Order: sequence, then C-alpha cells, then structure tokens
Amino acid sequence: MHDGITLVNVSKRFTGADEPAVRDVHLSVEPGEIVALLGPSGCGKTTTLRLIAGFERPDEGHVIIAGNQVAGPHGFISPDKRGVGMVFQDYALFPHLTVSDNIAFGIGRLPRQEKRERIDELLELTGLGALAERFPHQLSGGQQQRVAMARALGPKPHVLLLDEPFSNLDTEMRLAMRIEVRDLLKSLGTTAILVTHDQQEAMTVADRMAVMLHGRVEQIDVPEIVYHYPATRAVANFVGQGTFVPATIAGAIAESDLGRFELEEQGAQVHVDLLIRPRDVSLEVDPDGIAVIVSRTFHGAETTYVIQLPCGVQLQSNQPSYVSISPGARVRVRCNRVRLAAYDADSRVALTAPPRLGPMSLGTPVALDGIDAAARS
Amino acid sequence: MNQGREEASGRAAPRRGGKSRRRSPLLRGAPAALWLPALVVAVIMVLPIGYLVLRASQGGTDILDLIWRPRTFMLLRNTVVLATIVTVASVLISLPAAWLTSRTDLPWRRFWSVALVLPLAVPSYVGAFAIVAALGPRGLLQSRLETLFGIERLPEIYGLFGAALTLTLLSYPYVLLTLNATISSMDTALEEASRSMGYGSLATFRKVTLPLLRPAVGAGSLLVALYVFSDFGAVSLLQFDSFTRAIYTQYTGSFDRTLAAGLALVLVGLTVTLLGFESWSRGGAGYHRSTAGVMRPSRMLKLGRWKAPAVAYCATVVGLALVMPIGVILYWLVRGLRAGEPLRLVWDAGLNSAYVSLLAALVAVLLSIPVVLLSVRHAGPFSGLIERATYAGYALPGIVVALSLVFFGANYAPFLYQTTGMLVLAYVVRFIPQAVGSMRAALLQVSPHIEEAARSLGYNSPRVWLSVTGPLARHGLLSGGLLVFLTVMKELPATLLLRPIGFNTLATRIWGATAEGFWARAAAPALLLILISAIPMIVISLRQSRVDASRG
Repeated sequence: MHDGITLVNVSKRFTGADEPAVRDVHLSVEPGEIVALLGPSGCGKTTTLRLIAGFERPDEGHVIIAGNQVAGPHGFISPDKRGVGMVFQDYALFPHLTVSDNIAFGIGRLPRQEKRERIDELLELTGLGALAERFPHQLSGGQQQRVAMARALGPKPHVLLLDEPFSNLDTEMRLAMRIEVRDLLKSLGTTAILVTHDQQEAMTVADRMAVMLHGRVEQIDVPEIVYHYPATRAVANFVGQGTFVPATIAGAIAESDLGRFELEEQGAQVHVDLLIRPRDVSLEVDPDGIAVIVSRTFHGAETTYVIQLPCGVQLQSNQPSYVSISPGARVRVRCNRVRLAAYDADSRVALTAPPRLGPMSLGTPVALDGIDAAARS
Repeated sequence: MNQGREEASGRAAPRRGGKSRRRSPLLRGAPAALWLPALVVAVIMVLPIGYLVLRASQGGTDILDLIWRPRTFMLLRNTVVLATIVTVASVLISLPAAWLTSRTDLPWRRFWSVALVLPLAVPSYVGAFAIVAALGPRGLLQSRLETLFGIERLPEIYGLFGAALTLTLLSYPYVLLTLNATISSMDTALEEASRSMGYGSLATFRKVTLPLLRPAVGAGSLLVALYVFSDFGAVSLLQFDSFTRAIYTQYTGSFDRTLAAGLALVLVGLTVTLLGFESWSRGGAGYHRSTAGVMRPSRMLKLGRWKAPAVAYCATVVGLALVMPIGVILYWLVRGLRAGEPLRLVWDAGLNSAYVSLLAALVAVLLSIPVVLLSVRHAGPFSGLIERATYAGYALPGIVVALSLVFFGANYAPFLYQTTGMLVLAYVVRFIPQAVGSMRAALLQVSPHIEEAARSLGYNSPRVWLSVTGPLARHGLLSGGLLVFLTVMKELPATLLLRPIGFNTLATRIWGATAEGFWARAAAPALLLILISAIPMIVISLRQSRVDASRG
C-alpha cells in the first residue's frame, strides 16, 4: 500500500470570499517524506492542510491518502476516519486531561497492557516520561509541543500534519525543536506535511518545500533548488533576499553591470534579469569602479552594503564585518557565482540550467567567468 | 485567543462533517441534529411576543384608540421618569463605591466589596415590603416616632419617592458590578501615560479614567433601566402607576383583556427602544488595551484622613440597602413567631419554589445547548438569528411573557393553561438568555482546534462532545443553570398569573401577605428567599475577589 498523499486539481473557495483560497493544487508526498508548505499569510497553505485533514471539503479535485480517495467526486471521509495526525499551532491539548491521558486519547481500544506500553513508548520518544501526570497548563511551550506530537503520533497515522507548530515558541526553543522534530519524524519514517511562513523552518525541516502564493503551488522542489533557482519572480521575492539585475544577451554571453556570464543554452530573449543574492556579491574599492556605495548597515557578523549600479538597480551585498567601506566610495562589483537564475517578465528562463546533482555543486565558489565590471570601462 | 490561522475566511468557515449531501449555505454545514432543535427553541422563544402582536392586531383600529389615551402617556411618563431617577441615582451611588473598593486602601475592602453587591439578592417586592414596613404609616419608624414625639405622619412613602428609593437601593449593584469588572481589568499604563504627560491625579481621573469607565456605566445603566421597566413587585406594593402595575390591574380587573395586551406591547416597544438606543450609542471608540504585555496591578491610593468618611459612605449604602430590609424582616419574623405564625406554609412554598426553579433551570440549560453549539460552531446568518431569538426574554418583562402565555394557553393550549408546564415555559422564555449567555462564554473558551484535534484522533462528533467539549464547558452549563434557578426563585408576575390554582411559592406568599399588610406572615419566606439568593452570590464574589487578589 502506498502510504503517501496525493492532491489532484484541488480547489476550495469559502462562501462569501471573492477569490478561491486554494486553486488547482497538485501535490504528491512520498511515503516517509517531509514536505513543507511555505507561503505568506493568506496564501492558502493552512486551508490545503485542512483539506487533507478533512476539516474542509474541496470544491473540486480529489485527495488521496494511502491509496484511498478521502475527498473527491466519490464522497467524503470525515476527519475521524482518515488516519491523519494533526499538530496545531496552539497545540490544542485537552486542558482537562493529563499528559498521558492526552496521549492515550487517540490510541483507541487496545488491551490495557499494550496501551500502557504504547503510551510509555511515546513518552520516552518525546522525552516526556517525567511529566506524564502533569496537566498541559503546567508545561512549558516546548513541552506542550512535544505532547502535541506524541498525541498525534499515538494512533500511528498515515500522515502527520503540522500547522505552524513552532510559531508559539521563543527563538532559541524554535531552533532546537525544528531539529528535534525532524529527527523524530525521520527516525520513525513518518510522512509529514508542515505548514509554515518561515523559510528557514521550511528549509531546515523539510525534504522538499512547496511555495504557495495566492492559493497556488508555484514551485515544489528540494530547498536548495527553490533557493537558488526560484521558478518565478514571485517565488524569488518571497524566498530569500535578492536583487534582479538586468542583462543583455548577445550570442552565448549575457552581459550586465556585474560582468559577463556564459550561457548554456541560447534563448530567444534579448533582455533578462539575473537574480543576485547579497552573499554572492563581492566588493573591491577602486576609484575607477562603476558602482557607488549608497549605504552601510552593520548587523554584527555581517555588514550589508547597498550599491548603486549604472543600470539604475540598487544591489545589496553582504560582507564580513571586517570589511569596511565608506558610503560614497567607488567599488568594483563581482558575482561569485557561475550559474545564475535568469528571468523574463514572470518566470525563470532556461538559459542556465540548475545542476542535476544535489546541493554539493551549488554552494562551492568556482573560478569566475564573469568578467570584472570595472575592467570593461 | 491567538490561534494565528492565516486565512481569515478559513477561520470563519465551519467544519463540515458527515455525508456529501449538498446543504443550503445559510446553514453553513450544520447537521440537522443541531439546527432542528435550535429552530424549535427559537420558535418557542418568539411565540409569546408573536402571539401578543397577533392578538393586538386583531383588535384593529380599536386597539390604537385604546392605547392612544392620556392614561397611556401618563404611564409612559411615569415609567420613564422612574427609570431615569433610579438609573442616575444608581450611577451616583456606584461610582464612588467602585472606586473606593478597588483602588484605595479602604479598611475591610473585601467585606465592603461583597456587602455592597449583596442587595442584588433582595427581590424587589421584599425590598418594597421592608420599606413599607419600616417607613410607611404604622411602620417601625413612624410608630417609634409617634410614641417618642407624637409624630403621626411621615412623608408619603407610596408613589414615586418610595418606588424610586426601593429600586435604586436594589439595583445599583448592576452598575457597581460592571464598574468593578472594568476597573479591575483596566490597563493602568493608560493612567500612567496621562500622569507622565503632566496631568494630575484628578485631571487624569476626569480625562482618562472616567471616559474608560463610560462603557461600563452604560452597560450597568442599561441593566438597571431594564430592571425598572420590568419590575412589578416594588411598583405594585408601593402603588406607583407604571406599566407593569397598570397591565396587571387591567388584566385582573376587567373582562376585556385586549387593552392589557396593548399596554404590554407599548412596554415591549419601550424596552426595545432602550436596547436599540444602547447599541447605537455604544458604537465608535474602541476600549481595548492596545498592548499585548502583561498588565501591572494598579497602585492603591492611600485614603489618609478620608478613611472615616469613606467607611461611613459604604456603611450608609450597605445599611440602607441591606441591613435595613433584613432588620425589618427579622423584627417581623420574631414578632410573628411570638404570635404563633405557622412556618409550615413557608416550608411548602419553599419546596414549591425550589421544584419549579429546578425544573426551569434544567429545561433552560438543555434547550440552550443546541442554540449555543449552532451559534458558536456554525456562525452564520441563520444561527445568528436563532441565537438572537433566545435573547427575546431580555426585552420582555415578566408580566408581558405571562400575559401572552395566558392568552395563548386559554385559546390554543387549554391543556397547558394553569399547569406547572406552562409556568416553567414562561420562566424559560424569560430567563433562557442567562443560560445561553453563560454557556456561550464557556464554549467560546474551548478552541475549535481542540475539537478538531479530537476528530483527527478518530472521535466522531457526538463522542467529541461527550469527551472533550462537554467536560470543558461544564462550568458554563452549571453556572447558567444556577443563574436561572436563582432568578426563577425570585420571579413574581409570571408566577402570579400562570401558577396552577392553589400553588404557592415563596414569591406569591410574600406578595399575598404584604399586599394585605400581614408583615409578620411575609417575614419568614422573605428571609428564606434572601438567604437562598445571597449564599451563592457571596461564594461567587468571594471567589472573584480571590482571583483578583491572586492576579494582583
């Protein structure tokens, strides 16, 4: 039996709303995979999660969990019969039950001994053993989160749905819990879908991330590809910081204020925009440079410079904080990256292909074939 | 509640369960097992007023002629004047009392804050009885003064003065309670901000504190005015011609009851106007705290040499509103017992009271469950309408509910007429808002996520209710039931009009004895009634002040 989840053409519009909350969503989650639904407020990611859980009913399309169609033209299976576990943003622990009773709640009819063992196993798995008889209000945020996980895992669901599970924790706890939850899910081989508006969280926890904007899944891929090769300008704007720098194509060369880039494939476009991440820009003071430092913001480990390019674009560059250049100084600007994502009006154009391999070939700085911008002048 | 769901439309949308049958969007996916009983409840609630309108409209233009008389305008003026005096006096009494008990180092603060609210436990006809027995002709004060100084007449206690005095002393706690609630939850940072901008403490009170208290004063005043509009016991015993008394005399004293119905409709119009005015005037400025931080408790003001006057003020109010009536009752109780007044009748009446009150409380709570579940979990135009229908009781004075059920019973349900069932129905129509309100508050505390969590753990809807929602909302059910029980114990006009023949409750015993001047006979049931109402109030307000103390 296929234990994954498939959404086909799923759409949902709430009564009274002008725009559908979710439109024509395709999503396929492999068994044991963790997928993050990432998007800003109101993008439909929580609705998608609730459509899978059965708390909402799709207007169109169908939802398949572990090979069974749970919503679609052939009927609707209510949430209690779907075998999905859910971890809520506010945890939704039962305040009138102890930790172990909360966990026992969904385990169902098992012989007393087996049930006891299952609860103990879950308590141990989540490190809650000492707190079994406490009530939810006697626990810290992180502990409540663990109880919510244990409770949702209790009935051995086909899939675990996590709705912004870390957003009620303080920063330090959040970072720790991300790792902890990912390790737990991976060790159990649980299929999981995580809803979040935090890209860091999506990248840390998920195997693949689906970026949702305005009810649509704009891109679904491994975090590295989504980060370096956003499928559309909208995704690029939402994921990470970056600047679009115009480039002109002549033959197999794209020319920009940051230098020249060789193209792997030739396209029909003449004008494209290159996505430049602040980390990938290097600076060198040079009175003959074509770029001018506009401002400098100190962050501690790094300093962000805003640089005026001749083409009119203001580029951001993150430098180690020992680099110190005064605003007004002329600089040479280079891009430390071989492969850049290029965009027409909306979407990425296939001038430079994302690497077929995984992350290893992406992050390493390679010898530049972009020619110094200053050298041209 | 910060559930932080990002889709605004998603939050309002209901959970849909069960079969894939298409339903009207009006019902928002609520199961028939819920909206059908809720609809029935709503129909029962609007039945009395609906029937009254029907009955009056059958009179055609005659009814307008009947209503359009100088006497009606006299009643209207009397009622409005009485309500205005009582409301203004209540606010004037409550403002200093609230401030003293919550913001100063008043000696015995806890005691005063409970004692000042307790007059609420005195039914209006008991208060009126105490006033008449103390200050009326042949009353305690006059007979003392006569033996000492030969004074044979005191200023007339009957009429506007007596009614206003009695009702003020009994209903000012409504304003005090809303004020207390607001003061204890008020953000002192607002006052501190005003101080930091150079305003003195008096200017700050005038410019910041008082405006912040305005909604509380408004809400409390509304309750007081509604109380006066619907009061029957005090105005009747003190012979003040307001609507309720006129309706009753019209009903008992003449064969044509259409005029009584017409007057009742005018009274309903008056309460509805008041409610409309209140909700209109409430719009506008927001009164929320704008910050999310934890509130600091306010600094207590040192009274210094104002301590004695402050205590004297509280003592005077409590003395007049609470000690005086209880003292009078005790005096007559002792005299009655010495004269061999039998207590057995009181005992029977007490049991009857408890019986119908318990029945009404149970029915009210049971009926409120589908209404509240529908309105909280399946919010929409239809469920909103149903919930609002159950609030009809707030706008319907007891005498109006009673009258309309008399008409309805006599014409359409003779088998119900003058039965306990009919009486309980009247109580439920009148007091179900209390059960609905308290249940609603409790259910709103239960996050829908908790129910969804239970659903995702394999529980179907009824099991979710039994194992999660019910247990979590049980305090709301209990306190709603208790409220209904206590108010039914004190209810007079509907009991008078609808009780089965020969059926006496504590309220009717007190009424009957007082109306005929048998004060000794009224004393025992009056005391019992006060005790029954006061004890839960003491418990609740002590618990409340402990919560406040632990928060501070």
